[in-house]
Amino acid sequence: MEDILYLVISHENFCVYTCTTHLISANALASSSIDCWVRAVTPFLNNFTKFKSKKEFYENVWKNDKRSGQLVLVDPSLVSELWLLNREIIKRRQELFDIWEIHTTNALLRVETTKWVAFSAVANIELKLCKPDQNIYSPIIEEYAHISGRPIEQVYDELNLKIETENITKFRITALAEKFKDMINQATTLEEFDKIKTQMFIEFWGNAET
Amino acid sequence: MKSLYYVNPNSIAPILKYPEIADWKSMYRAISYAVGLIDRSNQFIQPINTSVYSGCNLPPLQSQSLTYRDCCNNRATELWELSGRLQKPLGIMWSGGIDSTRMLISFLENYSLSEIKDRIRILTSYDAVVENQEFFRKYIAGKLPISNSESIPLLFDKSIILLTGEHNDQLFGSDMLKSFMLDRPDIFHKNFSKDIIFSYLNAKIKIDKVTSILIDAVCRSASTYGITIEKNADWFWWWNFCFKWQSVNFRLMVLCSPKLWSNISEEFMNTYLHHFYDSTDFQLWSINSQDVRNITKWIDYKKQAKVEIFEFDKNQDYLDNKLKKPSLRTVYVQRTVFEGIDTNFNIIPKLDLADIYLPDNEFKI
Repeated sequence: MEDILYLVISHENFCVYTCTTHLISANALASSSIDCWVRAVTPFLNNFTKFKSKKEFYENVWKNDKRSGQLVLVDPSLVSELWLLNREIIKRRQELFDIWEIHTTNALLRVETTKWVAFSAVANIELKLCKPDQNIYSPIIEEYAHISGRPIEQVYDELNLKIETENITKFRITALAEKFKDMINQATTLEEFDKIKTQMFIEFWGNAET
Repeated sequence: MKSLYYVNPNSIAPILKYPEIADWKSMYRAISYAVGLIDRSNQFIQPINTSVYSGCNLPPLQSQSLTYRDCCNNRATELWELSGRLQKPLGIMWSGGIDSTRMLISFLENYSLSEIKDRIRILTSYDAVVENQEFFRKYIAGKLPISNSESIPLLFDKSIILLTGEHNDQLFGSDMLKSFMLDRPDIFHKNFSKDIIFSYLNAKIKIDKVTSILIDAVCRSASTYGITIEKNADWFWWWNFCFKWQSVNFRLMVLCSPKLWSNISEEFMNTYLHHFYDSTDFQLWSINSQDVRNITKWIDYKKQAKVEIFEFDKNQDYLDNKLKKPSLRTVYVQRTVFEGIDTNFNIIPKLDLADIYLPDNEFKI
């Protein structure tokens, strides 16, 4: 698999606030009120390996040079206090986004059931073309039933339930993830970060421990 | 001060003003922070003001000769008649697990498919198919009307009578027995020993005083009602049967869509929301059936229900290998839920400790 890092870069001075292997987290971080954008880089760039060590990354200030595209060191005295403060906030938010990614990924596991990612969307369209009470089924659904070797009315009910369950569940998980993305992006203090971390666990899993 | 019929302790954060709240909350490490315990015998005084709902009162203690099957048949008849009177379908929540499958069989055995088609809607999701595919394909898919239970928040609209398989766990013992049995298989069905229960629970609670309060409260409650805690398994059963019952009775309602909160009332509980195993017959069957909870292998948990499922569907694999699974988890997971219901059936989205704190409680420091 290609080794890609996503950089969260400041609009103010083009210095890199943070880097992550997760594009969704990078975009989540970049959607806060701190001005920044996301750029992907590969090992072909100088200093790439230094970005993979948290210690080496945070001991320095890095810039993604606009002309050469290379990752270059910046004299720390040249960055503003505000930039340093924002980097600290983004660093803490990233720690929460790492947990957010794990919760979201685990929540989605049970509804990731087909190799072909578009299956759910296509099946949804095909199911809507069917009228089971009139014994009308789309050709694709008919073939699906034929291949499965089971009665079409049984296959329709099962497939319909599967697609509905997956879509409703994914929608719900996405809504929850978006809610916490906004909460994380508004947090600045340790107390707020701790509260969100606890709340995130409760709402993703804790309330279901009934 | 408000009094609650339902409370989710998850959201109650310990504060300096009420120091015993931290201890009280630690008790929930032994069960779950989302299960608000309410002692139906009214013996256990917690720092949160709660009341026993009249529909959750313990039945008068008496012997009973009805079998589990009799109780299932009686309950199916009662609910079928309710559906007829109201001219509303029964929305049977089927998860593929033991409780909901036995519930559904009670109707399939007693009524014809054509009657059932008009009177029953299966509320289910694909997770149920995963849990019990053979039953779904044989008796539900293509045969009975299906609605997706993922849409449960919108089903509190009084268009159907919601029917769950809740409370079977309380009748048979407790799924909390599973980890106890795995940890201490040697002493599980031995005579009750406070020390043994203490060492098991305190490993979770981690505060001696709190563990003792809980163990003593369960024993006191049983004794007041007239039950003898004979075996270790009996202690867990009474904890579940007497202390968790009301939380289970109310918990489905936390999923109700906010736009339908105004429907939640005592009338709604009596008319549009029913739990199949919630009847005096079932409760007395449980009280008089000590043998069902004194099992030696976890696979034998709810054996009677599994045997009766087998007699209907002849699925030997399900009978031999089906383990009790937390099927409800997928119904509650990643939902936005409210935190309490007061005794006027007001929904409380966010609990405020100051409104519900009870100063004279057993945890007071």
